[in-house]
Amino acid sequence: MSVTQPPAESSKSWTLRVRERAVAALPPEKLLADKQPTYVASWIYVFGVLSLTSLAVIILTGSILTLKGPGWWHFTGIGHFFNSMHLWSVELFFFFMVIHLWGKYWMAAWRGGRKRVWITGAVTFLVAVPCALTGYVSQQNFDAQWISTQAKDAMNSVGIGAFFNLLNFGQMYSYHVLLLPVAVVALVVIHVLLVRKHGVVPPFRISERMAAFQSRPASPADADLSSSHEVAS
Amino acid sequence: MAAVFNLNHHATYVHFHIGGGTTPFFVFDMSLSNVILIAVMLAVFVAAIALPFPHTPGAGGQK
Repeated sequence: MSVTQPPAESSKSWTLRVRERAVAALPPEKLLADKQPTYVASWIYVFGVLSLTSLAVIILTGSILTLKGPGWWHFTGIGHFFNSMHLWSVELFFFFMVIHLWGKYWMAAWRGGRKRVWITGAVTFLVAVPCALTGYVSQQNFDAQWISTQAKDAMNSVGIGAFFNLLNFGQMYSYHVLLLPVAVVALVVIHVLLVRKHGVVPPFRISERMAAFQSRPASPADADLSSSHEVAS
Repeated sequence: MAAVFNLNHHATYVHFHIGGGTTPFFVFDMSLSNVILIAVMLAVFVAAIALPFPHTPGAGGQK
C-alpha cells in the first residue's frame, strides 16, 4: 500500500505555521531587546512605561478589591488603603497617559509605518475613560449615586442609555471588573508588541538624518555608524 | 485628601466668557482643581522635554 505524501507546505502543523509567522513578525531580539536608540534617553519617553506601571497597580489593587467586596473596602482600614491605592493609581494612569499622548502627538508618532501603534494607543485612552467611569459608579456610596444620576443624562442624550445604563449597578460592575479591563489590557498588550515591532519613534531631526543616511550609497563604515546609535537598556 | 484640604464646601469654579447676552460666543467653566491639575500636567510635559536625562553609563548621550 502506498501512501501519498502531501506537499511540504501543507504538512506543517498549524502550531508550526503560527510560530513561524509570530517569529517572523516579531523576532526575539525585537520582542525582548537589550538595546535602545540613544534618543530614548529623554524624560518624555518615560511616560509610556509610567502608564504601564500605573496600570499594573490598578489591576493588582482592583483584583484584591473584587475578591474582598464593598463591605471590606468601605469599613476596614486595610480596605480603605487598597481602595485609595486603586483610585490614585487610576488618577496617575490618566495623568501619565495624557502626557504620553501629548508627547507622541507632537512627535507625530504615527510616522514610519507606526499608524497601528498610534491607533491602538488612542483607542486604549478612549476605552479607559468608560472603564474609569464604571469604577466611579461602582463605589457603592453617595458619590457613586451622584455620578451615575448625572452621567445617565449624558448617555441618554447620545442614545445609548438603554444599552449602557449607569443606574444598573450589576451592569456597571460587570463592565468595570471584566469587560472594559480586559479590553484595556488587550489593547495595551497589542500596543506594546507593536512598539516592539516598529521601534520607538525617533525625533524629527534624527528621522531626517536617518532618511538621508539610508538614501546614500552603502559603505563599510555604515555598520559602525548604525551600531553607535544604540545603548544598553 | 480630605485630611489635608477641607472639602466640605461647594467647588470653586473658574468661569469666563467671550461675548455677552444669553448666548456668549465662548464659555469657559471648569473647577479650580481641574484647572490646577491641567496646569501641573503642562508643567510636567514641558519639564520632561526641557530637563536633561541622566546619562546611561557607557552611552554616547544624545548626539
